[in-house]
Amino acid sequence: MSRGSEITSFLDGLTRLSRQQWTLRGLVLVSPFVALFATHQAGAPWRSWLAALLLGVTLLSALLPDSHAPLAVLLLTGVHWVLAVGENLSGWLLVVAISLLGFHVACLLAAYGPPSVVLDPVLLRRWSARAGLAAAAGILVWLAAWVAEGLEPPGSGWLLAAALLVLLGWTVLLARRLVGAAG
Amino acid sequence: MSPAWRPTPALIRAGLASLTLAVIGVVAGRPDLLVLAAPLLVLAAGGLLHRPVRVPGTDSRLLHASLREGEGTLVRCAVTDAGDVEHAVVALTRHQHLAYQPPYGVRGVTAGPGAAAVTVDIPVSPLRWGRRAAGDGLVAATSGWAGFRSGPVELRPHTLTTLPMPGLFDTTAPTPHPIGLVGTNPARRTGDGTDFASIRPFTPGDRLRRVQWRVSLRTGALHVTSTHSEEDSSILLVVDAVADIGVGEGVHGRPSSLDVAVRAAGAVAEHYLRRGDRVGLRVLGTTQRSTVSMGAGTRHLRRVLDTLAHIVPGGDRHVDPNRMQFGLSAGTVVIVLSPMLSDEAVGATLVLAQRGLSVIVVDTLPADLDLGQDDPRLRVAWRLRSLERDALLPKVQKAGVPVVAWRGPGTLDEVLRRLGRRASLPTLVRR
Repeated sequence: MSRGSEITSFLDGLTRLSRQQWTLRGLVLVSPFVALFATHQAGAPWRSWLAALLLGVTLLSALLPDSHAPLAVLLLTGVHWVLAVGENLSGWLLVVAISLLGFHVACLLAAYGPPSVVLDPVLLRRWSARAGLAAAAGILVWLAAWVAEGLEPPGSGWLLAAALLVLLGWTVLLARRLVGAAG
Repeated sequence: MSPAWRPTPALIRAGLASLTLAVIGVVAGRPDLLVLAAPLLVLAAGGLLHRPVRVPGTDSRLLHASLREGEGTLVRCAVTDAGDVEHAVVALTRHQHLAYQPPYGVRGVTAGPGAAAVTVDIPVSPLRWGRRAAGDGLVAATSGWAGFRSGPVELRPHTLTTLPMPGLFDTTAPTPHPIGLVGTNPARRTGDGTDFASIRPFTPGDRLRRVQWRVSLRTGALHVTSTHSEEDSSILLVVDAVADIGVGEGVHGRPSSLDVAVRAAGAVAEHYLRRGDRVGLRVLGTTQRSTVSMGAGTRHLRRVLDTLAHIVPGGDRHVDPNRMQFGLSAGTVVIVLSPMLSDEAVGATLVLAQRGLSVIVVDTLPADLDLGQDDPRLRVAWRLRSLERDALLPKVQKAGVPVVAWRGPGTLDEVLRRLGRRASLPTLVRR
């Protein structure tokens, strides 16, 4: 298939978007800007170039939810938080976490099939429960961080080593499952 | 074909983003980044925990391979060995004159827990007669938590034969030359039947129930009522498929000339075959099956409709009417269904008329013809073609062939009655 016919086919597919897909892609477009707004409220300065860059990548994500463009949105928003906001456990952190979760789940649901697909309520209920579970995990970590900050524990080399070990295990597991399956 | 499972971009995204944020969080001592990473980590872990092992297979079929226009059937696609499948989606290829439900032929189904197979049914309805591919497309399966995807796999196409819509046709007029043994058309000779012929003196062998008592008492000699015997007749349908004029929009839209011809031929064949007559078919200008010999019965109707469904217009433009062998017996009524725009159709009509057969031309040119494009040159060309047609039609009528426009029930009544009257007159024919 030539590049021209691929583009025509892609645009043709967009004209067949179901109402559900419009909603999901609307969520994809909105949620990164909710996260950006929350980051700004948490103390990050407003940068127009960043907003423009985020808009471009978000638009690409809405058009191609089954690509790696949404990963760029997650990393851009996360790195912006890391660089522009200091350690901040305010409520805005939760807003950013939930927005990114919503963005990820919306992209994931939009990528289940062609643009005209309508997902059945059974699958949507399952994903509501899963997203709820993931959000609950975020809230639990947030509460734990609050408690830990209140207790002000002394720095522990052992604790850091244990955390790094857990992350290393997670990295190995990811690498084996993702690279192994792709190979 | 059974494609292997591959990680979805969603799983890669959740895994990499959560890992990046968590590493930075731990190294930099930023618990807030762990809060950002935690939800994505849960979803990535869910995807990995539901990593599929069994590779699913796919199979598809059409529940009915033959339909009438506007009828519906199902494309049934099954994802087999689906123990690890949570969701399957089928996207059928769109074809002209095929309608799907949902309209774009895309349907997703969520598997129940522990289901051995996931079945996706997509209703499909052909909107125009003919043979076309149906049921081809793509199918993909996704594992639990959208972690892995198998496919998309191509579904092989199936051939769907669409018979012409059961058209509305009826005629009360008898055919002019009934030549068979049994049937419903009143013959010229007398015998067992219901149509009154005459009252004549009783002869040995006459049945008592035929005695006309009133006339017998008045005349003093036994008289009986005689009736015309009833016989079947032979109908040859000649369909002009040399060209298809207009754009056929399917069963709910405007017809092309060939749409009218094919549906009319199907309706006429159905009418006469249900009455017990013999019907044959000849298609001009197609490379597919073009001849159905004379026959009767329901199975023969199916043969006629099947041949009509196989018509490919303009497949064979080298039709020489003078060399065509129709193999017709005397008394056959020939119904030519044509827009009378091709020399082949006009030539065949004149040849058949010169052989002394009763020929009727049913004009299949639609009144509201759609020329497809609003091109002035096309309109001029069509105007010239119409003028040629206006010159051809009198030529046909001059040869004694009546031309009637197709209008469904009653189209042939008047011409059949006229032909019946003419059949009793002596005619000069070329042998």
